Amino acid sequence: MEDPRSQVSRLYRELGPAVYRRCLRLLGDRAAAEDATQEVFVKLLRDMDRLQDRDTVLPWIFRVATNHCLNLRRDARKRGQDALAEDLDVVPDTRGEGPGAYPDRQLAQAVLSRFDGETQAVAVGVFVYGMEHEEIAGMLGISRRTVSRKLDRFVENARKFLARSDPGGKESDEAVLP
Amino acid sequence: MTRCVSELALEAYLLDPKQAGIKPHLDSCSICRARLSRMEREGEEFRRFVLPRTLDRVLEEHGSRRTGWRRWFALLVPAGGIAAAAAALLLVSPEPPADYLGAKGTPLAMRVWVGDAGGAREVADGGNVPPGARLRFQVAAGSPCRLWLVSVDARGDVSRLYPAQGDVAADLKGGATLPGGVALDDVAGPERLFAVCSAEALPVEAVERAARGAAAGGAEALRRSTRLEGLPAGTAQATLLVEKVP
Repeated sequence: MEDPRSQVSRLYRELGPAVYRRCLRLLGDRAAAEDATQEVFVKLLRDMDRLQDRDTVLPWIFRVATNHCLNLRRDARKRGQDALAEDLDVVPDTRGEGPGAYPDRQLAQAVLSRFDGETQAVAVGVFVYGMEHEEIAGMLGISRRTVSRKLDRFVENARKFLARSDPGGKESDEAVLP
Repeated sequence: MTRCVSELALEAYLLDPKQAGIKPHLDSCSICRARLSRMEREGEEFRRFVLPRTLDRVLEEHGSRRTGWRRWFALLVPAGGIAAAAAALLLVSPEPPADYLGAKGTPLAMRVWVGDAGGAREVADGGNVPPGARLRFQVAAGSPCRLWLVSVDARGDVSRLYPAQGDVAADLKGGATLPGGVALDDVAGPERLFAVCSAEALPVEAVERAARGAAAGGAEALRRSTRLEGLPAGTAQATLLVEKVP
């Protein structure tokens, strides 16, 4: 029988890269991603059985890592560490839904922090990870309909927010959007 | 060409290429092949640099959580002492100054010490400590009493710190450095420590219930809660707030 330390080492070696990539995407800083990776993995280790279930482990990793890193971005923003909070690596628009489907993919990084946590995760799923609505629903444990609703609201409110920002791009208020 | 696949699908492919079922798309999509290459490079970066630097910490953190403590761990030194336990204690428990005398003339006093790279420093009320910080405690009572030491965070999660096990409050006579130490969890925010000492031993459930009540109003209420309510008259209390700041 595999001893616990070997088991943890093996799982970290196998699944750590997936955690690290999520953290890199959302934090954009290798040192911050390294710290976040170990923190996320310690959280994941609290449920060993789930961590070893190959059918469900990846959506779970995505959810835990995404929530953790979004919290880090939020905290960095509060502390005025904008470098961590600004650069969000959006996925190329390759979904073939036409140029008007998501009119400005940079919306995600411009206004992300103004939304609640679950809406942020939905937006990250679409714009950063390039996920289908069904994949996001599975990741977050919500319905596809809820995903669509939150995404529509995100895009609509993001447009409104950008429309009322000043020409220089300076944000006009600090309210959290619904 | 079919739509580009998500990073979730690419992760599944990296984990098990045979099961993922996206090979036909990858063969025909240069964009996704480039995305996959990037992910492979990042994976290699993890294995070469991140894994060696962080594995020990992951093992340590995981090991500490498996001891049965929900959010804290304690290292208790047996009365006779054994070399291994003593060595571990030195690692996690900063030693307060030898001239510490406790707070004479007060019903109950508590001092908290945190270990960091520069050695041990005393934590002031409301002081910042890093998440995961190692703490050690000294308590002093004006008269013999039965002691519980607990903590509560803004979510109302209560941790029993000392005695760590059993249902019997510890005897406290004069001042004492509590054996062992505790490590804070990694959740940022306020954590309030309460030392409670009474002539008759209180049930720990009563202390835990009172501690939960202190956090009922959230973080700000916890910061303002300097006394546990609902404990018997004559119960001496001491409290100290720490802010876990990354």
